[in-house]
Amino acid sequence: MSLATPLDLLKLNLDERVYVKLRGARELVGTLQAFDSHCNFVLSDAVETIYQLIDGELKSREKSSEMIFVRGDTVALITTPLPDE
Amino acid sequence: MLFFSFFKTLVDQEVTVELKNDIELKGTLKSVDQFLNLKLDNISCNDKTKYPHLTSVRNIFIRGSNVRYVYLQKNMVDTNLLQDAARREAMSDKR
Amino acid sequence: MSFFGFNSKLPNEGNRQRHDHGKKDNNNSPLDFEDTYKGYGEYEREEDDYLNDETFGDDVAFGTDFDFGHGSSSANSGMISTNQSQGQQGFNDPVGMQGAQAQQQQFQMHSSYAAAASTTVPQQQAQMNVTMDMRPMESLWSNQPDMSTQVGQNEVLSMEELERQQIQMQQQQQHPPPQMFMPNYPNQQPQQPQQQFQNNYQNNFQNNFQNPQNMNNQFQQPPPPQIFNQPPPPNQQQTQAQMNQAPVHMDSPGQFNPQHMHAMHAVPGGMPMPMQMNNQISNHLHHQQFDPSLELKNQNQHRQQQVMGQNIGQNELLENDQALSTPSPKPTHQVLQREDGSIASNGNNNQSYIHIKDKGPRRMSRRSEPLSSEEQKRLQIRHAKVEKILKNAGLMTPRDKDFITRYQLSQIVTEDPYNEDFYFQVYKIIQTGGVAGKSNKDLIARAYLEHSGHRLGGRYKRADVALQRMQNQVEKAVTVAKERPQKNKDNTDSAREGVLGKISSSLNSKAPRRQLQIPSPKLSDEEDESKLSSHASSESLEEVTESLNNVGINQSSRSRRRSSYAFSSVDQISVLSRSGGRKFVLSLIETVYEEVLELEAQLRSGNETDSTGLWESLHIGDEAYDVSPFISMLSFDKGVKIMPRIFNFLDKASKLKLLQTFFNELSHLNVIIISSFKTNPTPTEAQLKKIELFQGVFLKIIVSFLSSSADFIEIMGLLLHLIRNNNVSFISTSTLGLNLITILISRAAIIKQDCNRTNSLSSPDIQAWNEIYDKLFISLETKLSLVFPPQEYRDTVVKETSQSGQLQQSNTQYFDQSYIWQFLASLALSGKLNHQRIIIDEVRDEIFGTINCAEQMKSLPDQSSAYRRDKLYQDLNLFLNVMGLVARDGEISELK
Repeated sequence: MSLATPLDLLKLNLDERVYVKLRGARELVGTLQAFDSHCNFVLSDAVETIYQLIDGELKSREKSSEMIFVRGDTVALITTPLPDE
Repeated sequence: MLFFSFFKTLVDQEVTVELKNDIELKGTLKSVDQFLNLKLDNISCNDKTKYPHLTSVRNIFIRGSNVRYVYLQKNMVDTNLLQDAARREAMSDKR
Repeated sequence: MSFFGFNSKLPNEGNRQRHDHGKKDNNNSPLDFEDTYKGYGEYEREEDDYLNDETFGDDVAFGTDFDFGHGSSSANSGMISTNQSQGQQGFNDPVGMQGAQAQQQQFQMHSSYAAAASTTVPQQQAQMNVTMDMRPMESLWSNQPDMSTQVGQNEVLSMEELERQQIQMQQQQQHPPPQMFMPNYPNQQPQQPQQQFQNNYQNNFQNNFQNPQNMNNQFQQPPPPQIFNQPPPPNQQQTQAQMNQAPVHMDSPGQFNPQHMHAMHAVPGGMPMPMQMNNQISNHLHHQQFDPSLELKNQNQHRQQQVMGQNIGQNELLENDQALSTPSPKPTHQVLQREDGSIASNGNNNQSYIHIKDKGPRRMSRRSEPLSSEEQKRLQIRHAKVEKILKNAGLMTPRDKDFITRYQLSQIVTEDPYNEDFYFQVYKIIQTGGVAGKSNKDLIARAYLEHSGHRLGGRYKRADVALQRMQNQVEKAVTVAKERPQKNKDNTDSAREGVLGKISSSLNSKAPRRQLQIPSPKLSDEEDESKLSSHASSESLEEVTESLNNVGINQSSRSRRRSSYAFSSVDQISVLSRSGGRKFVLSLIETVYEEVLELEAQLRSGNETDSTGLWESLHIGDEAYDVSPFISMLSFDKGVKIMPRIFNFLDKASKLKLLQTFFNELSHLNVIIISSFKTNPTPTEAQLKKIELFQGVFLKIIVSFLSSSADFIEIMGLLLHLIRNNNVSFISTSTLGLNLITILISRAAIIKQDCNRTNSLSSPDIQAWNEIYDKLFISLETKLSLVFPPQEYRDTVVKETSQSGQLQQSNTQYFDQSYIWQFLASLALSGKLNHQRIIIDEVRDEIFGTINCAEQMKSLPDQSSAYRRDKLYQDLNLFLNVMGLVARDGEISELK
């Protein structure tokens, strides 16, 4: 395999499930449909998990969407999800 | 230019935009540019808590950098084509 | 000066009077001559100035107090006016005045500056009015009869008279297309319009409207003459456009439309009144005849004035104007209604200028009737909007606007839309059903024009012109875009020197230069994964070995089959690890995609396509791995999806080889594994979806290939591959596998039947076919009943599909076994009698079970049961008919 940039590795995951960590204690899991060099991307069948500290307790809530565009400047990391997700 | 192209196909569709300051707005996408700035017409409230009570405002311009998410529907997107477009974009960026 | 009753001959009296006028000293005692006389009288009379007396008068008084202000009381006005002709130079030049009396007289005429400054505005105006007389005599400068005498007479007209005159003028005049010329405008700026003066002026205008040149001279303006239009707030862009296009001309014969200069409004009220009479061009003419171009130019001027930053006096002047024009609000409204969007705002509550763009009196009267309050309101709103829009118009020249337009277009325009705007273009094509449509440039031009709201042209009239210009812009932008990449290639580090150093070009923003050098990663994950793969279950091994003994195959195939069984884990990891690892396989898929996309792009542009790269990327002949990477590719959905597109570019030999590889390693195929109830008794919805996808996509291309271009021998070959390298029984427990076998067999049977008629099959072929069939039969023998999945499996599948509602099978609430009967039918069809007997023997239970099931449904009244019953019979009879039997109403009988 020739020298691959990180975005090349991301390309391998097109049409696969990915796990994305965003700023602001947010996570996304979805099927990667498209991305670009800014890390903007479109996910399908996505679930967003938002973690919040409420009354000293860590709480999370989820939001699902069938198709979502995510702007790249909030993305912290992208990887493949754990098998149970 | 991939997402610019992508958003161009979504013009005149109703989308929901969530901004980085948690404001959520539903409206008809009227225009987009290369920076992914958006113009929405006929704004309406989606989520009462996240709506900034711009009750008198009907049409807005959003600077692209302020967008966090744009919620769409599956029928607005051709996923196979989109994936191919992403591949092409990655190819051309590499070149 | 005796007509004033003033005897200037008396020195003392004169002195006294002078004192009374100007000085605070009320000393009435005669002044000492020595004190006051400054020795002027000692100047000798000039000999050679024959006109001296005429110029200076022979009884002009000298003065010591040279007050250059105007007279402080109206009583002086007369003296002032009469003095004008003499005294233009008189203030500064006491020399040449004769006599102290003359001095004194003159002196009496003029009070101090302080006195002048303290006079009120009307007085000043009055004085200014008088200065009108300083105009040159018109009779000297034109061919027209002397009208200057009229000026003094018609000093102040009543408003009604003014209106009347204006209407008359309007009716007399036609449409001049006087154009505006801007540059001199600034000069006109600092002026205070004065009411009476303007009235006079208007009179002059009305009287002298035939004399453009007169006007010019009056204003002492340089040629080219200028027209100051009223400031409407129509489309700024139109102004610019037309400014560029229309020539400036004013001397349309006999027509001159002096128009009110809005600049006046810009003058702050507090400015001191300048004495430059040549700058007093305040027109109070309201009724004008208009051109759209005029308006636009008006607007331009208007803008410029505002740019000068003077808005203060606007309102009050407007009010003045409004006052003047009050008698005719209706025409104003009408006219404003006439033209869309390019009409001056109404002088109602918004502070813009009224002007009437009437084309003639007739229209005025026609339109005056239907003006309702609602229309007025609408007009008001529109005018407010227009005013708001135009508040800041005029800041950019047309060249600037063109530049901006071109720049914006250059960002979005490309000469190769398929490369840069791929998604949008192809999406459009898909939506419109594959029609290419208009040219790209035309579309862009149109779209841009629509979005910019016909900025560059009038709404309807100039739309085509604007469109054309836009298209020109687009083409220009395209050529620029074409040159851009070449330029970039020349100097990839096209950095510009800035003050702070080098500024990087757009190359970096679009694709940031790589800062890190990533060392090539070691493919260590492969080694890890291979460790996982050593979980061989001994039981299945035994089973496989047993079944293998019954079939005559060579050693390598045997080992392959054994291994395929050993690693039949549902998740792909073990399989993938044996073909290079997940990442490797994914990268292969992506490479394949790249090849396909390139080929498709080449096809689009009409070039010849070379598919060798594609073939190599498929790794079909790759022996380096246990499991062909190609097979592993098929375990991903996206690998399956690309298959039909690959087939477009492969030749027959390649396709055949592909299918051979496919059948060789069928057991390793993930979809087979998950579709078999043996290895995956509890399929999930996702898995079922995958199976369906594979069925719909890949099986379809196999069928189409076989039916179109595969001949008998080739099909035989494929069957052989399947039989030799796989556990057929295992394959038959999977829906997909069974379908594949069915496809092959039925295809062979069809060809055989066709060839039987034509006798084109050679006996070796037939013999080969029989052998292969035997082999197949043997491998399936005694296990035919196993083809039917157990009830639990069926229940699971039904449950999953009905839950999701997305799968095609979901409309059935029962497990569709038709594929099994189809398989059995095709098997029986190609077999001889003894084969058929064996088949029936083995599936007898199932046959009767099905009949019973159907009969039980007879008792149920609902529609779906009846449907199901019929279907059961249908499927069964598909098989039975092959053997000449038919099942009906619970009985099997011979088919007649």
